[in-house]
Amino acid sequence: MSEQKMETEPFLQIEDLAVEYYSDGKVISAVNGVSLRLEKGKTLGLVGETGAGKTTIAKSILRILPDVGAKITGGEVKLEGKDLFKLSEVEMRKIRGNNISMIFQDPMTALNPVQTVGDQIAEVVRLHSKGEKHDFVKRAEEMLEMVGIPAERYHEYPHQFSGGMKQRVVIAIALACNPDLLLADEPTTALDVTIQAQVLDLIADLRKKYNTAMLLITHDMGVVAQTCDDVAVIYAGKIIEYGSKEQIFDHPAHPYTIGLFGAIPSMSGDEEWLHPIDGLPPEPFNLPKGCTFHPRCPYATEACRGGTIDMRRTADGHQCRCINIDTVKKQEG
Amino acid sequence: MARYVLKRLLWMIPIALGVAVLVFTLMCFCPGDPAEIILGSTATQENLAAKREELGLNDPYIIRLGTFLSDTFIHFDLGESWITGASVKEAIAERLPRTLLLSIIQLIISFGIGIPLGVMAAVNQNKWQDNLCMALALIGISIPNFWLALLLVILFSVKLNLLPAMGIGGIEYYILPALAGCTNGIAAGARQTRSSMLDVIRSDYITTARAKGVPEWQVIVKHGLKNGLIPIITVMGTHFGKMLGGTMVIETIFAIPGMGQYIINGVNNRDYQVVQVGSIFLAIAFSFCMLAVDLLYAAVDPRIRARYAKGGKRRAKKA
Repeated sequence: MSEQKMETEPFLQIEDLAVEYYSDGKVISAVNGVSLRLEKGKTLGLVGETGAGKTTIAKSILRILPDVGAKITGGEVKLEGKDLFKLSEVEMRKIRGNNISMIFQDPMTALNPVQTVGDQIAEVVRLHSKGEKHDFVKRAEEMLEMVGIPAERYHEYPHQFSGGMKQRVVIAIALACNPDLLLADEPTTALDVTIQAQVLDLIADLRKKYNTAMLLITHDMGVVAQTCDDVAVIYAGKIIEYGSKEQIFDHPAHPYTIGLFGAIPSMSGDEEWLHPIDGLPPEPFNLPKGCTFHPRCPYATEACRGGTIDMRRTADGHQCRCINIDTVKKQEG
Repeated sequence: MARYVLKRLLWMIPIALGVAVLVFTLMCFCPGDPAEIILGSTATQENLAAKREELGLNDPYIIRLGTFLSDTFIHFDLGESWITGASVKEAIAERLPRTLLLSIIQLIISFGIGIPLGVMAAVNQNKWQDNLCMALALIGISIPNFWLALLLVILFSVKLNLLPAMGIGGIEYYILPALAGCTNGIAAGARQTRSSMLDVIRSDYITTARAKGVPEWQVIVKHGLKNGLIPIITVMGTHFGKMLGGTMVIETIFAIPGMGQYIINGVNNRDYQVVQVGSIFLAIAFSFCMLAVDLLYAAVDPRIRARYAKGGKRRAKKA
C-alpha cells in the first residue's frame, strides 16, 4: 500500500496475495506476496514458467482452490473495492461465473462429459439470472452462435466436439453472463496454432462488446504481444517485473525477463542459436534466499543472496524486482 | 439402441444352454445315488434298480443330456421334483418372485445407504466423516449375515415384538431378512462410491462447475456423482447377481421359501431336475441383471450410448 499514485479505486486490486500448498508434510509457497491491479476493459498478461503460480493466482481470485491442501495465507483481492476474501461462500457464489468467470487451460477436460454443452452453458445463466427455462436455453443458444457453433448442436455432448470447439464452449460458458472480469488461464495452450488465433480473436471481439477486463495467463510472449495492455512477469510465486506491454517488450529490465525474450526465436534477427535460461525454476518448497532467481542469474552478486529484494521503479509504472538494474541495463545496452 | 438390446437378448439363449450343459454335467459327476436318497436305506436292490430305470439314470450321459435339453428348451417341460413330485415350473413361479423381491429390497437399502456414505467420505477425505464411513464399511463387510440375522430377530421380534421372525406374508416379513443381508452391499457401495468420487472430484470439470457458481451440493451430485456412477453401477449389478443366488443363508434362517433354499435342498437331495432348472433360471435372471447394468451405463454416459448406437463395437478411445 505504499503507492499513492492511484487515487481512485482500481477495478481489480490484488494486494500481497500469498497462497500455500501442503503436500507430504511439505509447505509449498506457490504465491508469495503478489500485488496487481487491473482497470476495467484492460488486459493484464501474467507471464511465467509452468509452476510459477499463475493459475493459483487466478483460482485464488475466484476462491476455487482445492479445499484440501491449499490455503490462502494472506493478502486481499478487491473487486471494485469489495474484498472478495471477506465475502461469505453464498455471496462468492453469486460472483463466480457472473462478475468473474474463468476460461480453463485444457478444454478436453474442462467440460462435464455427461451433460450436453447447451445445458452446461444454460446452467451458468440459470444460476445468475431470473427467468424461465426457455430463457436460459435461448441465451445458451445465442452464446453458441456467438462463438461460432450452430445452435442445433445444443443437445450434443462434449465428446462430439473437437478441441477447438470445446474451448469455444468453455468461452461461451465464461462469457454467458457478461462478466466484468475474465480470467483466461492459458486459453490457447492446448490448441493448435490456427485455432489459437481464432480463439484469441473470438475472446477479443466478445470482450470489446462488453468492455470486459481480462487477466490473461500465458507463457506465450506472442499471445501477450497480441492481446495485453500490461504485463506482469512471475517467477517462483513473485512478480519480478511489472509494466506496460511496451515497457516490458522494449525495455525489459529484469535478467529473467531478458532471458525469456532471449529464448524466443526471432523472425528478423540472424542469430543461429536461441539463448535458454540456464538451470531450472527453484523447488517451490525450498526457495532460495534473497532473490529467488539468483542461482540462475548471470548478474547475481553477493547482495542478491540474502535479504528481501523489493520492487523498484525504473520508469513511470514500470517496476522491477532486481537490485542490479543499472548493471544489467549497461551490459544489455 | 433397440438393436443392441435385441442382440443382448438373443445372447441369453446360448448362455442358458451353456449353463444347462455345465450344470447337468456337474450333477452327473456328483457322487451319491438319487434312487437311494429317494427310496431310503431300507429299499431293496430291485426297487433301486427299478427307480434308476424310471429316472433314466441308466441311459448314457449324452442321451440324458439330450433329453433334458430338448424337454427344457424345446418342449418347455421343466419336469417334476424327483423327491416330492411337485412341478418345478410351479415351484419356481412361486419362489423366484420372493427371492427377487428380497434381493431388490436389499439392493435398494444397500445403495440407498452406501452411496451417500461413500459421497460423504469422499467429500470429507481424511476427516472424521471419512474415517467413520470407512469404519462402518469395514464392519459391514466383516459382519457374518447369519449372526446379524439372529441378533435382529432377538431384538425386533423377541424383545420388541415389532416384526415377524420368520416365514412369508406381507412386506413386513421381508424387512429383517433384507436388513440382515444388506450389510455387504452397503459396505461395497460405500467403498466403491468413495473411490470413484475421489477420482471425479479432482477433475477439471468440477473446478469448472465451481467457477460457474454452482452450489457445492449440486457440484457434488450433479457434476460429480453422475460421472462417478459407472463403477458404482457395476458393483451394484454384480452384487444384485450375488444376492439372487446367495440369499440361501438368509432364506434358511428366516424360513423364506425362495430360490436359494430350493436349489440347496435340491443339491442335498440329489434332485437333479430341481438343481438344473433352478440354475438355468438364476443364470437368466443374472443375464437380465447384467443387461440392465449395461443399459444403465448408457443412460448415464452419452459416450457409451453413442458406442451402443454404432452397433456395440468397442472402439479404442482416442486420448
